[in-house]
Amino acid sequence: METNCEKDLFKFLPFSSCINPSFWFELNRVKLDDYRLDDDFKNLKGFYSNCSSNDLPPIMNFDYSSFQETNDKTKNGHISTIIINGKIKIFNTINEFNVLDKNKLLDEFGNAIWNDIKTGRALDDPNLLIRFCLIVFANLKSYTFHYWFAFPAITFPLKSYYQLKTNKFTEIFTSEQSNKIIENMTNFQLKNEHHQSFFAIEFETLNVLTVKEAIDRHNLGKRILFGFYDPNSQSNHPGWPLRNYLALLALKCKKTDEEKRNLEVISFRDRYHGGARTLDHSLVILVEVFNISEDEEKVNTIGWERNEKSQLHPRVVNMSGSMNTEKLAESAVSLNLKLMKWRIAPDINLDIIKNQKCLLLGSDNSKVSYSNPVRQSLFVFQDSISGESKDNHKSIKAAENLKLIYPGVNAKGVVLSIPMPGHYVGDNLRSKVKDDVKQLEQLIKEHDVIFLLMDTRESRWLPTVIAAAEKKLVINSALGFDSYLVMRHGVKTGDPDKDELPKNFQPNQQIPSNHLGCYFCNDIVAPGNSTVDRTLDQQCTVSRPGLSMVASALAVELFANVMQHPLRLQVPSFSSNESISGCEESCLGIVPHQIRGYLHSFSNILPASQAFDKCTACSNEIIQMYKKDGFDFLLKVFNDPTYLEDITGLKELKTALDQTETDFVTELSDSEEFENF
Amino acid sequence: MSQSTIPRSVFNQNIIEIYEKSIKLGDTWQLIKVNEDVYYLEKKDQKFINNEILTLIFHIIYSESYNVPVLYLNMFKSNGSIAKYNDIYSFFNLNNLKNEERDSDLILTQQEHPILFKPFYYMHPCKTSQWMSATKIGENDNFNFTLKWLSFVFSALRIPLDIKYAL
Repeated sequence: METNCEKDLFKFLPFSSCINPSFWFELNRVKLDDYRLDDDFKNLKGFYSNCSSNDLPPIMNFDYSSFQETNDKTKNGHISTIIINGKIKIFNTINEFNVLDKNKLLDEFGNAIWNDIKTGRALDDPNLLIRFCLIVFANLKSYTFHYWFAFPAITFPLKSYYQLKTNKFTEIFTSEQSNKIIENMTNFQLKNEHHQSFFAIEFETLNVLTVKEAIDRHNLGKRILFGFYDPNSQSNHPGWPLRNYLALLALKCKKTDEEKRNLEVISFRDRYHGGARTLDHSLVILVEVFNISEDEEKVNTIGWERNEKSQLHPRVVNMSGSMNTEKLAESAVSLNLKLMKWRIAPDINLDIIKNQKCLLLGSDNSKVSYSNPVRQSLFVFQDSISGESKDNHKSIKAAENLKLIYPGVNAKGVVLSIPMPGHYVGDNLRSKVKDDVKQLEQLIKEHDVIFLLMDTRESRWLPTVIAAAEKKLVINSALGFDSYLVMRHGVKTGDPDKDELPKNFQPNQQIPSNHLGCYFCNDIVAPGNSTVDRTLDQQCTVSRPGLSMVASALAVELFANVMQHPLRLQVPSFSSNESISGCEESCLGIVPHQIRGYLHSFSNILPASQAFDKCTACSNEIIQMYKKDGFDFLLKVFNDPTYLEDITGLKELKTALDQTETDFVTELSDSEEFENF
Repeated sequence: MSQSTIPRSVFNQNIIEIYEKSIKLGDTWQLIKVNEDVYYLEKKDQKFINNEILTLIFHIIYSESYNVPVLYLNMFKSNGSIAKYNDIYSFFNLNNLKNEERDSDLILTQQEHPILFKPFYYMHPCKTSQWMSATKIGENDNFNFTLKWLSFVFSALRIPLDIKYAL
């Protein structure tokens, strides 16, 4: 590189701050646990290296260890890392952060540096020449941090430093000399507890000296090159530390009669080539330095870091994606699903289940009882010992406990009584029951899938009717002692021609969804009050504890299979176990109508049944009457379930059956010729 | 196919050896001691891309469940915000992988760091012993398992590793 005869105004490359996420985590902890409301300046450490690559700007790094008072002994650091001591002030309000007089603050730091230079403290510990100031406002709820770094450097008005000549290190020193210097430097640094950023080289002996020693020798006439660890490797311009260094040298080096004198400065840059440490990237700069005295009138300070848009404004970072634990849970769950999609089921539609609104009807309108937690995994012991208030109702607790498992769930518990056929509604209760019905109708309308999880047969009636009228998907789960039924109700299309049931049902046929049966289709008796005249064990279903887990799990997965099928609610079922391979599958598998399982044999079967045209819940007659007469119709049913048998024609059917029976018996008694049958 | 795994003691020896070589070569690996038994290697790399300072951190940690080394990495901007999936994937050119390749070990997924308990990205170690045994060269028992593993992993991510480590 050619020597430059013209003098250039020095361009000092400022530091760029670089924050490790662990810094923010530690700041969060330190503010909450240690500092709390104390917003005084606290100690902080920064780190820079003189061994960075060519294309990087000069960087000062900050991580969790910045907050540690003593050096991190667990890390064996690289020898070219310099530790810088600075200050951090964490404000308690954004307002205080904003109204702080930034210029005044910077001047305070500048004056402190100038004082250290004047008093000689900086000579004893030159690392004091590099310091920084960080102001922060941390919003610990939203995990956003407003921050601003300053790297204070003093400037003297109307006086500047000029870069007279810049040489490569190799032009001044031979490789032998360079190696000697490296050796001396290693020994020099070993004598200090902390790596020294500032030093000097005595040209004659190639000894590495402290700055204090060097200035003495310089003042005695020896040729001294003043060096510093340069954070900048990018260009022929030195990094920020040289600014304050030159101020120190300008004051403490022997003055001449002239206003200015020249000093030699080494911009010390480490590099490793093929395992060997070289100083080839270092520069030797001839600097023109003016005289300054201790009584300089005004010491200007510069050094606030510019933001990403090169403006003199603070920076803001939103760390909620990494620090907000709820968001972390959400992204972990989402990742799990994505992995399922990438690795196993590429055709799966992840969004469709996410967007479903599910209504879970169950929990018998009571508070959590002591026997529940061991069988019902959503409840814990604490839930059963709180008082009788509405907050302890199972549905409320269930929604709360879901949030404990996954905070991102959108769950709400509703306390509601579901009116049932055969459970008489007296006049005084009429308006309350009407409201309950209205609330249930509204809930069903608002949701996409209804899960029926009650423990009585008749309580499933009303939701079945409403859901059938609204054409919603219903997944029904019922438990016996050691057997369970999980099924999906058929969903009508609304088109009466399509919905009309075929007369010639064949057992092996596939049944389209709008012809599939509901929970009540297989019964010829209307649901009535099953709790009357029952003993305690008959009133509540006593089930094997594991049963509810199995049935619920199957109910959810059946729902998943329905949703993944391209036809969704309209997916048909098949009719017998053998034809599984022939039927249409979703990417998650078959979509049966019913799953009936038996714990005593650990088996299950997958029957499918057509709807019953005289069904007391989903038949055309019932749905039409419900749509026409609304609550009045329902009231009649609640007060007398046999009314259902009347309208559906079940009554007639049963009467016809009874008559057939009578004839049958008569025939037998009159004739002995059995072969007539 | 035989499984290649190493006990923690061998892993610790391996990384101490790598660390010592790193010092000699002027590389920047750091050896971090968590306690008497647990050590890991850390390397930091900074790049200036699109006017942004990007910092990459690599950790070589021992996986107790799979008995192999596992790579944890993180990438963040100068303000401390951690890179998102898309950024990581495009940085390492993983977006262009075909489906079969996707299936392999090269997937980087987000995971809580086992020692620092912070969100990091890692390369799942489930297939490591499988492909390590498939690449066994000779019966030399003295080879540094972790170094060999590292050379494969880094070359897959196109991160340079000085060839002199092998000497």
